[in-house]
Amino acid sequence: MKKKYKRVFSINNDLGYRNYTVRDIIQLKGKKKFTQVRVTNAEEAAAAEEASIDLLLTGPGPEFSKIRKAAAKTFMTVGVPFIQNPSKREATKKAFEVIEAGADSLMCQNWNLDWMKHLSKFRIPFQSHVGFIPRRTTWIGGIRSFGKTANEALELYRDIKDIENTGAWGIEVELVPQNILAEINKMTSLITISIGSGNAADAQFLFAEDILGQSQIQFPRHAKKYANFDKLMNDLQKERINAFKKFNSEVRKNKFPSKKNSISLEKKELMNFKKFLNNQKVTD
Amino acid sequence: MKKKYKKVYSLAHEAGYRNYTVRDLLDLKGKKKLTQINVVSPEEAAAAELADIDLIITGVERLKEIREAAPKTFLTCGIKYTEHESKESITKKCFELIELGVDSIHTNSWNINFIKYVSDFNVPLQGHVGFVPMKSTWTGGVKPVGKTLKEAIKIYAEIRELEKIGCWAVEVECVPADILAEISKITQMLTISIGSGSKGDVQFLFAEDI
Repeated sequence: MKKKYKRVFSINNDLGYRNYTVRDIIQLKGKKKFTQVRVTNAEEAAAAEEASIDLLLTGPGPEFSKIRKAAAKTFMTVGVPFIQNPSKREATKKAFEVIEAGADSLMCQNWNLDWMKHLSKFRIPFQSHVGFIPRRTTWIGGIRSFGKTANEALELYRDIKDIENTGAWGIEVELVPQNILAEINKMTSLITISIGSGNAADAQFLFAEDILGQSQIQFPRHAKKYANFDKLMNDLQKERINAFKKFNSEVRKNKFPSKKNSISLEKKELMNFKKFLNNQKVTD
Repeated sequence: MKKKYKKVYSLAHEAGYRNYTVRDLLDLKGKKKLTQINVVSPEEAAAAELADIDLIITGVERLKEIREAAPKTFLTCGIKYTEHESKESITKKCFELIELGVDSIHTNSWNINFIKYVSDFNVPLQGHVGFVPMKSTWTGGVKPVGKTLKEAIKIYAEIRELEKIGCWAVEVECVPADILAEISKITQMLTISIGSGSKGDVQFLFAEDI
Protein backbone atom coordinates (compact mmCIF):
# COMPACT_ATOMS: atom_id res chain seq x y z
CA MET A 1 0.00 0.00 0.00
CA LYS A 2 1.13 3.53 -0.79
CA LYS A 3 2.37 5.44 2.22
CA LYS A 4 0.18 8.34 3.26
CA TYR A 5 2.97 10.89 3.47
CA LYS A 6 6.21 11.24 1.57
CA ARG A 7 9.44 12.93 2.54
CA VAL A 8 9.83 16.28 0.78
CA PHE A 9 11.68 19.52 0.80
CA SER A 10 9.25 22.38 1.00
CA ILE A 11 9.69 25.39 -1.30
CA ASN A 12 11.62 27.12 1.47
CA ASN A 13 13.94 24.12 1.77
CA ASP A 14 12.52 22.72 5.01
CA LEU A 15 12.66 18.96 5.23
CA GLY A 16 9.29 17.47 6.11
CA TYR A 17 6.41 15.27 5.01
CA ARG A 18 3.56 15.97 2.61
CA ASN A 19 0.59 14.05 1.22
CA TYR A 20 1.35 15.37 -2.30
CA THR A 21 3.92 17.27 -4.30
CA VAL A 22 2.71 19.44 -7.17
CA ARG A 23 3.99 16.77 -9.57
CA ASP A 24 1.85 14.11 -7.84
CA ILE A 25 -1.25 16.26 -8.12
CA ILE A 26 -0.67 17.00 -11.80
CA GLN A 27 -0.08 13.30 -12.57
CA LEU A 28 -3.29 12.31 -10.82
CA LYS A 29 -5.42 14.47 -13.12
CA GLY A 30 -8.28 12.33 -14.39
CA LYS A 31 -7.28 9.47 -12.07
CA LYS A 32 -8.33 10.70 -8.68
CA LYS A 33 -11.04 12.93 -7.23
CA PHE A 34 -9.41 15.44 -4.93
CA THR A 35 -10.91 17.43 -2.10
CA GLN A 36 -9.88 20.93 -1.12
CA VAL A 37 -11.13 22.77 1.96
CA ARG A 38 -10.65 26.39 2.90
CA VAL A 39 -9.77 26.66 6.57
CA THR A 40 -9.51 29.74 8.77
CA ASN A 41 -8.10 28.38 11.99
CA ALA A 42 -5.77 25.76 13.41
CA GLU A 43 -8.59 23.51 14.68
CA GLU A 44 -10.15 23.26 11.22
CA ALA A 45 -6.74 22.61 9.66
CA ALA A 46 -5.90 19.84 12.12
CA ALA A 47 -9.32 18.24 11.60
CA ALA A 48 -8.90 18.39 7.82
CA GLU A 49 -5.52 16.65 7.99
CA GLU A 50 -6.91 13.97 10.32
CA ALA A 51 -9.77 13.47 7.88
CA SER A 52 -7.31 13.05 4.96
CA ILE A 53 -8.60 16.05 3.03
CA ASP A 54 -6.21 16.31 0.06
CA LEU A 55 -5.64 20.05 -0.25
CA LEU A 56 -6.02 23.01 2.07
CA LEU A 57 -6.48 26.65 1.23
CA THR A 58 -6.14 29.56 3.63
CA GLY A 59 -5.21 33.23 3.89
CA PRO A 60 -1.86 34.85 4.71
CA GLY A 61 -3.04 36.41 8.01
CA PRO A 62 -1.59 35.97 11.48
CA GLU A 63 -3.34 32.60 11.84
CA PHE A 64 -1.36 31.10 8.96
CA SER A 65 1.66 29.93 10.93
CA LYS A 66 -0.63 28.16 13.42
CA ILE A 67 -2.61 26.61 10.58
CA ARG A 68 0.57 25.33 8.92
CA LYS A 69 1.70 23.76 12.21
CA ALA A 70 -1.70 22.22 12.82
CA ALA A 71 -1.71 20.52 9.39
CA ALA A 72 1.99 20.17 8.72
CA LYS A 73 1.70 17.39 6.14
CA THR A 74 -1.14 18.54 3.92
CA PHE A 75 -0.55 20.35 0.62
CA MET A 76 -1.42 23.92 1.50
CA THR A 77 -2.20 26.83 -0.76
CA VAL A 78 -2.19 30.36 0.62
CA GLY A 79 -3.89 33.37 -0.90
CA VAL A 80 -1.80 36.45 -1.66
CA PRO A 81 -4.24 39.35 -2.06
CA PHE A 82 -3.35 41.72 -4.88
CA ILE A 83 -5.03 44.71 -3.23
CA GLN A 84 -2.54 44.82 -0.36
CA ASN A 85 0.36 44.10 -2.72
CA PRO A 86 -0.16 46.52 -5.56
CA SER A 87 2.90 45.85 -7.72
CA LYS A 88 4.65 42.87 -9.26
CA ARG A 89 7.51 43.41 -6.87
CA GLU A 90 5.37 43.67 -3.73
CA ALA A 91 3.24 40.68 -4.71
CA THR A 92 6.38 38.63 -5.28
CA LYS A 93 7.82 39.76 -1.95
CA LYS A 94 4.62 38.76 -0.16
CA ALA A 95 4.68 35.44 -2.04
CA PHE A 96 8.20 34.79 -0.73
CA GLU A 97 7.10 35.64 2.81
CA VAL A 98 4.25 33.17 2.61
CA ILE A 99 6.58 30.53 1.20
CA GLU A 100 9.00 31.12 4.08
CA ALA A 101 6.08 30.51 6.43
CA GLY A 102 5.55 27.09 4.81
CA ALA A 103 3.09 27.39 1.94
CA ASP A 104 3.25 24.71 -0.78
CA SER A 105 1.42 26.82 -3.32
CA LEU A 106 -0.11 30.27 -3.70
CA MET A 107 -3.59 31.35 -4.67
CA CYS A 108 -3.25 34.21 -7.16
CA GLN A 109 -6.82 35.35 -7.22
CA ASN A 110 -7.44 38.33 -9.48
CA TRP A 111 -3.77 38.74 -10.14
CA ASN A 112 -2.51 40.47 -13.19
CA LEU A 113 -1.44 37.70 -15.65
CA ASP A 114 2.01 39.27 -16.01
CA TRP A 115 2.61 38.95 -12.29
CA MET A 116 1.67 35.28 -12.45
CA LYS A 117 4.11 34.72 -15.32
CA HIS A 118 6.74 36.50 -13.25
CA LEU A 119 6.05 34.19 -10.30
CA SER A 120 6.38 31.18 -12.61
CA LYS A 121 9.93 32.26 -13.48
CA PHE A 122 10.75 31.47 -9.85
CA ARG A 123 9.12 28.04 -10.29
CA ILE A 124 6.61 28.81 -7.56
CA PRO A 125 3.47 26.66 -7.70
CA PHE A 126 0.24 28.58 -7.78
CA GLN A 127 -3.42 28.22 -8.59
CA SER A 128 -5.82 30.88 -9.80
CA HIS A 129 -9.54 31.49 -10.14
CA VAL A 130 -12.10 31.77 -12.95
CA GLY A 131 -15.86 31.85 -13.44
CA PHE A 132 -17.74 33.79 -10.80
CA ILE A 133 -15.10 35.77 -8.89
CA PRO A 134 -16.62 37.67 -5.96
CA ARG A 135 -14.37 40.69 -6.46
CA ARG A 136 -15.32 40.94 -10.11
CA THR A 137 -19.04 40.72 -9.49
CA THR A 138 -19.63 44.20 -10.84
CA TRP A 139 -18.33 43.18 -14.30
CA ILE A 140 -20.86 40.37 -14.68
CA GLY A 141 -23.82 42.17 -13.19
CA GLY A 142 -24.10 40.63 -9.74
CA ILE A 143 -23.80 37.37 -7.86
CA ARG A 144 -24.63 34.76 -10.49
CA SER A 145 -23.30 31.78 -12.35
CA PHE A 146 -20.89 32.41 -15.20
CA GLY A 147 -20.74 30.61 -18.54
CA LYS A 148 -24.39 29.90 -19.31
CA THR A 149 -24.16 31.35 -22.83
CA ALA A 150 -21.81 30.20 -25.56
CA ASN A 151 -20.10 33.60 -25.48
CA GLU A 152 -19.43 33.46 -21.78
CA ALA A 153 -18.32 29.84 -21.99
CA LEU A 154 -15.83 30.87 -24.66
CA GLU A 155 -14.58 33.70 -22.46
CA LEU A 156 -14.18 31.21 -19.63
CA TYR A 157 -12.24 28.85 -21.88
CA ARG A 158 -9.90 31.68 -22.88
CA ASP A 159 -9.41 32.71 -19.24
CA ILE A 160 -8.45 29.15 -18.37
CA LYS A 161 -6.07 28.88 -21.30
CA ASP A 162 -4.47 32.23 -20.40
CA ILE A 163 -3.90 31.01 -16.86
CA GLU A 164 -2.61 27.66 -18.08
CA ASN A 165 -0.06 29.61 -20.14
CA THR A 166 1.23 31.46 -17.07
CA GLY A 167 2.41 28.16 -15.58
CA ALA A 168 -0.27 27.65 -12.92
CA TRP A 169 -0.92 24.07 -11.73
CA GLY A 170 -4.56 24.51 -10.73
CA ILE A 171 -7.64 26.62 -11.29
CA GLU A 172 -10.61 27.21 -9.04
CA VAL A 173 -13.74 27.26 -11.20
CA GLU A 174 -16.65 28.89 -9.45
CA LEU A 175 -20.36 28.70 -10.37
CA VAL A 176 -19.96 27.47 -13.92
CA PRO A 177 -22.51 25.08 -15.55
CA GLN A 178 -21.23 21.58 -15.01
CA ASN A 179 -21.44 20.57 -18.70
CA ILE A 180 -19.19 23.49 -19.62
CA LEU A 181 -16.57 22.59 -17.05
CA ALA A 182 -16.80 18.94 -18.10
CA GLU A 183 -15.90 19.94 -21.68
CA ILE A 184 -13.14 22.39 -20.72
CA ASN A 185 -11.65 19.98 -18.20
CA LYS A 186 -10.75 17.58 -21.01
CA MET A 187 -8.86 20.32 -22.85
CA THR A 188 -6.69 21.80 -20.10
CA SER A 189 -3.70 20.39 -18.27
CA LEU A 190 -4.70 22.46 -15.22
CA ILE A 191 -6.19 20.69 -12.21
CA THR A 192 -9.71 22.08 -12.15
CA ILE A 193 -11.05 22.81 -8.70
CA SER A 194 -14.81 23.11 -8.70
CA ILE A 195 -16.89 25.13 -6.33
CA GLY A 196 -20.43 24.98 -7.57
CA SER A 197 -19.27 23.84 -11.04
CA GLY A 198 -20.28 20.20 -10.99
CA ASN A 199 -18.63 16.86 -10.53
CA ALA A 200 -16.50 16.58 -13.68
CA ALA A 201 -13.74 18.68 -12.09
CA ASP A 202 -10.53 17.15 -10.74
CA ALA A 203 -11.08 18.58 -7.25
CA GLN A 204 -14.11 19.53 -5.20
CA PHE A 205 -13.66 22.64 -3.11
CA LEU A 206 -15.74 23.85 -0.15
CA PHE A 207 -15.32 26.25 2.76
CA ALA A 208 -14.86 24.57 6.14
CA GLU A 209 -17.51 26.87 7.62
CA ASP A 210 -20.07 25.61 5.06
CA ILE A 211 -19.17 21.95 5.60
CA LEU A 212 -19.43 22.50 9.36
CA GLY A 213 -22.69 24.44 9.17
CA GLN A 214 -21.47 27.73 10.57
CA SER A 215 -21.76 30.05 7.58
CA GLN A 216 -21.69 33.74 8.34
CA ILE A 217 -23.72 34.50 5.22
CA GLN A 218 -26.83 32.98 3.67
CA PHE A 219 -26.01 29.34 2.96
CA PRO A 220 -24.85 28.98 -0.65
CA ARG A 221 -26.72 26.56 -2.92
CA HIS A 222 -23.56 24.88 -4.17
CA ALA A 223 -22.39 23.96 -0.68
CA LYS A 224 -23.40 21.14 1.60
CA LYS A 225 -23.58 20.99 5.39
CA TYR A 226 -22.14 17.88 6.98
CA ALA A 227 -22.52 19.09 10.58
CA ASN A 228 -24.42 21.69 12.58
CA PHE A 229 -21.76 23.76 14.29
CA ASP A 230 -24.08 26.75 14.61
CA LYS A 231 -26.14 24.71 17.04
CA LEU A 232 -23.10 23.20 18.76
CA MET A 233 -21.56 26.64 19.27
CA ASN A 234 -24.85 28.06 20.49
CA ASP A 235 -25.17 25.24 23.00
CA LEU A 236 -21.58 25.83 24.08
CA GLN A 237 -22.24 29.52 24.61
CA LYS A 238 -25.37 28.73 26.64
CA GLU A 239 -23.25 26.47 28.84
CA ARG A 240 -20.72 29.28 29.29
CA ILE A 241 -23.38 31.76 30.31
CA ASN A 242 -24.90 29.26 32.74
CA ALA A 243 -21.56 28.53 34.37
CA PHE A 244 -20.81 32.26 34.78
CA LYS A 245 -24.29 32.81 36.21
CA LYS A 246 -23.75 30.06 38.76
CA PHE A 247 -20.43 31.61 39.78
CA ASN A 248 -22.14 34.99 40.21
CA SER A 249 -24.96 33.55 42.27
CA GLU A 250 -22.69 31.50 44.55
CA VAL A 251 -20.55 34.54 45.29
CA ARG A 252 -23.60 36.69 46.12
CA LYS A 253 -24.94 33.97 48.42
CA ASN A 254 -21.55 33.52 50.06
CA LYS A 255 -21.41 29.89 48.94
CA PHE A 256 -18.17 30.47 47.04
CA PRO A 257 -15.39 30.38 48.10
CA SER A 258 -15.91 27.73 50.75
CA LYS A 259 -13.29 26.62 53.30
CA LYS A 260 -12.17 24.08 50.76
CA ASN A 261 -11.18 26.85 48.31
CA SER A 262 -9.43 28.96 50.98
CA ILE A 263 -6.13 29.03 52.83
CA SER A 264 -5.89 28.93 56.61
CA LEU A 265 -3.06 29.91 58.96
CA GLU A 266 -2.08 29.23 62.55
CA LYS A 267 -4.07 31.09 65.21
CA LYS A 268 -0.88 32.46 66.76
CA GLU A 269 0.21 34.15 63.50
CA LEU A 270 -3.24 35.66 63.03
CA MET A 271 -3.28 37.03 66.60
CA ASN A 272 0.13 38.61 66.08
CA PHE A 273 -1.01 40.19 62.83
CA LYS A 274 -4.09 41.65 64.51
CA LYS A 275 -1.83 43.10 67.22
CA PHE A 276 0.37 44.59 64.53
CA LEU A 277 -2.62 46.22 62.83
CA ASN A 278 -3.84 47.65 66.13
CA ASN A 279 -0.44 49.25 66.69
CA GLN A 280 -0.59 50.67 63.15
CA LYS A 281 -3.85 52.41 63.98
CA VAL A 282 -2.13 54.13 66.92
CA THR A 283 0.77 55.32 64.79
CA ASP A 284 -1.33 56.31 61.71
CA MET B 1 -35.15 49.22 40.29
CA LYS B 2 -31.68 50.41 39.44
CA LYS B 3 -30.95 50.42 35.75
CA LYS B 4 -28.44 47.81 34.68
CA TYR B 5 -26.26 50.13 32.63
CA LYS B 6 -25.52 53.81 32.97
CA LYS B 7 -24.43 56.33 30.39
CA VAL B 8 -20.75 57.12 30.75
CA TYR B 9 -17.76 58.57 29.00
CA SER B 10 -14.94 56.09 28.71
CA LEU B 11 -11.39 57.09 29.64
CA ALA B 12 -10.95 57.81 25.94
CA HIS B 13 -13.96 60.16 25.96
CA GLU B 14 -16.24 57.76 24.05
CA ALA B 15 -19.88 58.01 25.07
CA GLY B 16 -21.31 54.60 25.93
CA TYR B 17 -22.82 52.45 28.62
CA ARG B 18 -21.23 50.63 31.53
CA ASN B 19 -22.40 48.54 34.47
CA TYR B 20 -20.09 50.46 36.82
CA THR B 21 -17.82 53.44 37.02
CA VAL B 22 -14.77 53.31 39.31
CA ARG B 23 -16.65 55.57 41.72
CA ASP B 24 -19.58 53.13 41.85
CA LEU B 25 -17.24 50.28 42.64
CA LEU B 26 -15.51 52.19 45.43
CA ASP B 27 -18.91 53.14 46.88
CA LEU B 28 -19.99 49.51 46.86
CA LYS B 29 -17.07 48.36 49.00
CA GLY B 30 -18.45 46.34 51.89
CA LYS B 31 -21.99 46.53 50.47
CA LYS B 32 -21.98 44.17 47.54
CA LYS B 33 -20.12 41.03 46.64
CA LEU B 34 -18.71 41.51 43.17
CA THR B 35 -17.36 39.04 40.62
CA GLN B 36 -14.45 39.32 38.19
CA ILE B 37 -13.52 36.87 35.44
CA ASN B 38 -10.41 36.61 33.31
CA VAL B 39 -11.50 36.09 29.69
CA VAL B 40 -9.39 35.27 26.64
CA SER B 41 -11.94 35.24 23.82
CA PRO B 42 -14.90 37.33 22.64
CA GLU B 43 -17.17 34.32 23.26
CA GLU B 44 -16.20 34.23 26.93
CA ALA B 45 -16.55 38.01 27.20
CA ALA B 46 -20.04 38.00 25.64
CA ALA B 47 -21.12 35.18 27.95
CA ALA B 48 -19.77 37.05 30.98
CA GLU B 49 -21.73 40.16 30.07
CA LEU B 50 -24.93 38.16 29.52
CA ALA B 51 -24.41 36.42 32.87
CA ASP B 52 -24.03 39.81 34.64
CA ILE B 53 -20.49 39.21 35.74
CA ASP B 54 -19.45 42.53 37.30
CA LEU B 55 -15.89 42.90 36.10
CA ILE B 56 -13.85 41.32 33.35
CA ILE B 57 -10.13 41.31 32.86
CA THR B 58 -8.05 40.29 29.87
CA GLY B 59 -4.65 40.65 28.20
CA VAL B 60 -3.77 42.83 25.25
CA GLU B 61 -3.89 39.98 22.71
CA ARG B 62 -7.59 40.05 21.74
CA LEU B 63 -8.60 43.21 23.56
CA LYS B 64 -10.39 44.86 20.65
CA GLU B 65 -12.68 41.89 19.94
CA ILE B 66 -13.29 41.36 23.64
CA ARG B 67 -14.25 44.98 24.21
CA GLU B 68 -16.70 44.74 21.29
CA ALA B 69 -18.18 41.50 22.61
CA ALA B 70 -18.79 42.95 26.08
CA PRO B 71 -19.03 46.70 25.51
CA LYS B 72 -20.89 47.47 28.73
CA THR B 73 -18.92 45.58 31.33
CA PHE B 74 -16.16 47.24 33.37
CA LEU B 75 -13.04 45.95 31.65
CA THR B 76 -9.51 45.83 33.00
CA CYS B 77 -6.56 44.96 30.79
CA GLY B 78 -3.19 43.68 31.96
CA ILE B 79 0.14 44.91 30.59
CA LYS B 80 3.24 42.74 30.97
CA TYR B 81 6.14 44.63 32.50
CA THR B 82 8.74 42.74 30.44
CA GLU B 83 7.48 44.38 27.27
CA HIS B 84 8.07 47.93 28.52
CA GLU B 85 11.45 49.00 29.73
CA SER B 86 10.54 52.56 30.67
CA LYS B 87 7.72 54.44 32.28
CA GLU B 88 7.22 56.36 29.06
CA SER B 89 6.83 53.16 27.09
CA ILE B 90 4.38 51.65 29.56
CA THR B 91 2.39 54.89 29.66
CA LYS B 92 2.16 54.90 25.90
CA LYS B 93 0.80 51.34 25.99
CA CYS B 94 -1.74 52.37 28.64
CA PHE B 95 -2.95 55.20 26.41
CA GLU B 96 -3.27 52.79 23.49
CA LEU B 97 -5.44 50.47 25.58
CA ILE B 98 -7.51 53.39 26.81
CA GLU B 99 -8.20 54.31 23.20
CA LEU B 100 -9.44 50.76 22.70
CA GLY B 101 -11.98 51.27 25.47
CA VAL B 102 -10.55 49.77 28.66
CA ASP B 103 -11.84 51.05 31.99
CA SER B 104 -8.82 50.13 34.07
CA ILE B 105 -5.29 48.72 33.79
CA HIS B 106 -3.82 45.80 35.71
CA THR B 107 -0.25 46.54 36.85
CA ASN B 108 0.84 43.01 37.63
CA SER B 109 4.55 43.01 38.62
CA TRP B 110 5.29 46.55 37.41
CA ASN B 111 8.02 48.71 38.87
CA ILE B 112 6.26 50.63 41.64
CA ASN B 113 7.58 53.93 40.22
CA PHE B 114 5.93 53.13 36.89
CA ILE B 115 2.62 52.50 38.67
CA LYS B 116 2.91 55.87 40.36
CA TYR B 117 3.81 57.60 37.10
CA VAL B 118 0.76 56.20 35.28
CA SER B 119 -1.51 56.84 38.26
CA ASP B 120 -0.63 60.54 38.07
CA PHE B 121 -2.57 60.61 34.79
CA ASN B 122 -5.62 59.46 36.79
CA VAL B 123 -5.70 56.15 34.96
CA PRO B 124 -7.61 53.67 37.16
CA LEU B 125 -5.16 50.98 38.18
CA GLN B 126 -5.44 47.60 39.79
CA GLY B 127 -2.43 46.08 41.61
CA HIS B 128 -1.52 42.53 42.57
CA VAL B 129 -0.16 41.15 45.87
CA GLY B 130 0.27 37.84 47.67
CA PHE B 131 1.24 35.03 45.33
CA VAL B 132 2.21 36.80 42.09
CA PRO B 133 3.31 34.19 39.54
CA MET B 134 5.96 36.39 37.89
CA LYS B 135 7.46 37.24 41.28
CA SER B 136 7.07 33.84 42.87
CA THR B 137 10.78 33.08 42.97
CA TRP B 138 10.89 35.71 45.75
CA THR B 139 8.13 34.04 47.73
CA GLY B 140 9.41 30.48 47.37
CA GLY B 141 7.49 29.05 44.42
CA VAL B 142 3.89 28.11 43.81
CA LYS B 143 2.46 28.29 47.30
CA PRO B 144 0.37 30.55 49.53
CA VAL B 145 1.90 33.77 50.79
CA GLY B 146 1.06 35.38 54.14
CA LYS B 147 0.95 32.43 56.49
CA THR B 148 3.55 34.00 58.79
CA LEU B 149 3.41 37.35 60.52
CA LYS B 150 6.38 38.61 58.50
CA GLU B 151 4.76 37.77 55.17
CA ALA B 152 1.41 39.17 56.27
CA ILE B 153 3.04 42.47 57.24
CA LYS B 154 4.72 42.64 53.85
CA ILE B 155 1.38 42.15 52.09
CA TYR B 156 -0.11 44.85 54.28
CA ALA B 157 2.72 47.25 53.44
CA GLU B 158 2.37 46.58 49.69
CA ILE B 159 -1.36 47.18 49.83
CA ARG B 160 -0.86 50.43 51.72
CA GLU B 161 1.62 51.57 49.11
CA LEU B 162 -0.74 50.80 46.20
CA GLU B 163 -3.50 52.60 48.05
CA LYS B 164 -1.30 55.64 48.57
CA ILE B 165 -0.45 55.68 44.86
CA GLY B 166 -4.17 55.76 44.08
CA CYS B 167 -5.01 52.29 42.79
CA TRP B 168 -8.73 51.52 43.01
CA ALA B 169 -8.28 47.79 43.53
CA VAL B 170 -5.80 45.08 44.33
CA GLU B 171 -5.83 41.45 43.35
CA VAL B 172 -4.93 39.35 46.38
CA GLU B 173 -3.81 35.87 45.40
CA CYS B 174 -3.47 32.81 47.64
CA VAL B 175 -3.38 34.63 50.97
CA PRO B 176 -4.96 33.10 54.11
CA ALA B 177 -8.63 34.07 54.29
CA ASP B 178 -8.28 35.55 57.79
CA ILE B 179 -5.43 37.82 56.74
CA LEU B 180 -7.36 39.24 53.79
CA ALA B 181 -10.40 39.66 56.06
CA GLU B 182 -8.37 41.90 58.39
CA ILE B 183 -6.72 43.88 55.62
CA SER B 184 -9.90 44.31 53.60
CA LYS B 185 -11.51 46.11 56.55
CA ILE B 186 -8.85 48.79 56.69
CA THR B 187 -8.10 49.58 53.05
CA GLN B 188 -10.30 51.77 50.88
CA MET B 189 -9.27 49.79 47.82
CA LEU B 190 -11.45 46.96 46.62
CA THR B 191 -9.77 43.68 47.39
CA ILE B 192 -10.07 41.10 44.65
CA SER B 193 -9.69 37.60 46.04
CA ILE B 194 -8.39 34.67 44.11
CA GLY B 195 -7.83 31.86 46.55
CA SER B 196 -7.82 34.34 49.43
CA GLY B 197 -11.18 33.54 50.95
CA SER B 198 -14.64 35.01 50.94
CA LYS B 199 -13.87 38.34 52.63
CA GLY B 200 -12.50 40.01 49.53
CA ASP B 201 -14.78 42.62 47.97
CA VAL B 202 -14.54 40.80 44.67
CA GLN B 203 -14.25 37.11 43.83
CA PHE B 204 -12.00 36.51 40.86
CA LEU B 205 -11.66 33.38 38.72
CA PHE B 206 -10.39 32.47 35.27
CA ALA B 207 -13.11 31.69 32.72
CA GLU B 208 -11.24 28.54 31.71
CA ASP B 209 -11.39 27.26 35.29
CA ILE B 210 -15.09 28.11 35.69
